[in-house]
Amino acid sequence: MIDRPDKPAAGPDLASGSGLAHFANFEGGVDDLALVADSVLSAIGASGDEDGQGSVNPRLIRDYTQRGILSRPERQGKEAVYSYKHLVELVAARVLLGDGWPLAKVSVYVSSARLEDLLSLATPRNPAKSAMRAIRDIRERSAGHGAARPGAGKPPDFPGASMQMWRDITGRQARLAELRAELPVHLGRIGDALKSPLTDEYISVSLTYDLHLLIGNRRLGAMTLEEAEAIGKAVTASLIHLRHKGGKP
Amino acid sequence: MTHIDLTLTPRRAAVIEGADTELDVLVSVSAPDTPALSRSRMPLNLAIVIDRSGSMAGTPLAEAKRCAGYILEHLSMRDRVALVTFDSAVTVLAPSTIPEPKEPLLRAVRSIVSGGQTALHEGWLQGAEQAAPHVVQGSIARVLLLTDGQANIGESRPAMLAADCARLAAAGVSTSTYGLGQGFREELLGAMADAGGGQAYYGETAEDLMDPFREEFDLLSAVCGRRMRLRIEPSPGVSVTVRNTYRTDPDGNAILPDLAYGAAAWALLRVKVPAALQEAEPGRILHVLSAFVTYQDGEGRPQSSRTAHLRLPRMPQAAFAALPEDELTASRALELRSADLLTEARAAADRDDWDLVEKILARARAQAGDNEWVARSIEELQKYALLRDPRFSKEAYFLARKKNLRLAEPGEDGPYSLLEETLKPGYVRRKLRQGKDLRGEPFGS
Repeated sequence: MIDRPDKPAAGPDLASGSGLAHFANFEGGVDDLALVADSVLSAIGASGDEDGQGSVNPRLIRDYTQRGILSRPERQGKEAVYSYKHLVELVAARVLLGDGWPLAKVSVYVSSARLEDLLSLATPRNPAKSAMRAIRDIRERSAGHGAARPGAGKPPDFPGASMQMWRDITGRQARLAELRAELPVHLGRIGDALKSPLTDEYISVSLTYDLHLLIGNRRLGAMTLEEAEAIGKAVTASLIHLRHKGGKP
Repeated sequence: MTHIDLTLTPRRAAVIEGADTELDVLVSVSAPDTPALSRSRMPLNLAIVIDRSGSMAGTPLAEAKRCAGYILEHLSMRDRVALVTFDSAVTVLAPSTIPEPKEPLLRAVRSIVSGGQTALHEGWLQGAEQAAPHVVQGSIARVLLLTDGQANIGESRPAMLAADCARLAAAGVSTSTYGLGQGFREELLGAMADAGGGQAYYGETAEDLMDPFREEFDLLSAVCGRRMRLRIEPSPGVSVTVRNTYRTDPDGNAILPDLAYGAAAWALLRVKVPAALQEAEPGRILHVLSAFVTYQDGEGRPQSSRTAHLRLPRMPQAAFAALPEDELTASRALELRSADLLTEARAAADRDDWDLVEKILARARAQAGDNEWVARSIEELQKYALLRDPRFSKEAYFLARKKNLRLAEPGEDGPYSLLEETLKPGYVRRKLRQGKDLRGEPFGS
């Protein structure tokens, strides 16, 4: 059993990157280790649920111990007792697996790395990235299931189109979506506290899901038919110009 | 930090000496009444996804637009919102943005017109796609999906839709569903919300839609605990079943609803204590089980409640039978039994066996006893059953859900009053008809 205080336990400040240190006195059975590891992984956005690994459970912990990923637990009679060290090893292993490391490499790394190095892995993941990855997975799965938007979930209906080609396209879309997902992070780094571009002077018109028109509020209000037509021509000319330059401005 | 408390209350506070004992135990997981002074509500990252298929033409679409407008009006600079509509195809009317200034967004809502079929999955997915890039710790990302029809384009298998909702919920984007009228599949929308970590609502008519939107906004504004997991650790030999229809995580922990300030999540346990356990554990007091919850607080940090222990004295059969029952635990047991009967009645209605429906409802009404909410909500259902009204099925489904999954208000074991219910936050309100706006109910009993 985890040694639980009478008052609710304060959670680790994971934003500081030292969240696991909160559990420095952890000691418990296999169930306790699974529960605490799951909480930590969930809080740093690296839970098994998010990357399709499934959550941590006692059987998995025993398996990792067998494979040498986790150090052998102490024994108190028949019961295995896990400590902070095991918690750090387990969290680090799950983070690495979530990042796509093969199990064999995880085993080698975790069993040989210093505790400080393992701790540094337990920093918050980018939750937006996890969400975008989930969407990509769903799109890939439902690609063959007759999605609604032509060009969204099923292969295009023209000669030579193949499922592989379609997967390539949707894969590219997903990668682009991930790049878009990083936008708030980059804006935050250059001093935009809102981590979002300000749009309050503009109206964004979604012509299709991947084609947006941004237009000044006042300008739209005062726009004449002639001006709208001129804008159309200007957009056409710009697109031809960009295409001619290989998409580079 | 939010202090969430867990208590265990047995229906009778003892086990029978030398005999197997079966008893109900109420687990109450309570949030503080009011937030700390410094607290502001969690930022919201919403995607409002509106069905604009042909059947929504007229009043339903007008009301749906009014509901979307209500949400927009109540968002602040700390929030984000996207607007998505779908019929045969999906249109992102407004990509995820800060909802200021509001006028362009409201104008986009006003521009929605009705169209063709129902591409529900793609509409939902594109809503989620808008919210996903802006998922951050300590905010709530949610798709609000409103539909009056059945998914008939793209993925439409309930299990797959629910699995997709679960996948997104685990990655930080939850889903709430709003069914309108009689054309939608309640099991599908219910499963999407359950798996998606959100709420399932329905409105009998377009005019009833605003009420659940307000309820959801109240809830989102008051959430203090998310990813609530109830862990029960019975003593060896003791068996425990959670009576509510909560889903469980892979470790068998019950997944409780998000918890709001001033509310309590609850679960009713059916606990079996074998006589053999008493022989193994000498002494007057038996340790029966321990329980605690893990959750994420408003800042997304993992927390846990203290561990509560249920220890019960042994006493002879006669003394056990003479013990007073805990009223609240008995009342919750009654609610769940009533929910079971509603599910039976609904199955009978689906077979068009209305005589059986009436018999089951009569039994449920008789068992309701002093629980006025249960009694009166069943009376409302009896009216539908008497008229063979097609609304019966949806009302029975959502009422049974409510009784199983609802948040409660501490101290609600007093007399039921419709007037008082209207004054409560929507998420702890006990309505008589789930698909109706409570303010339209007659107040006379």
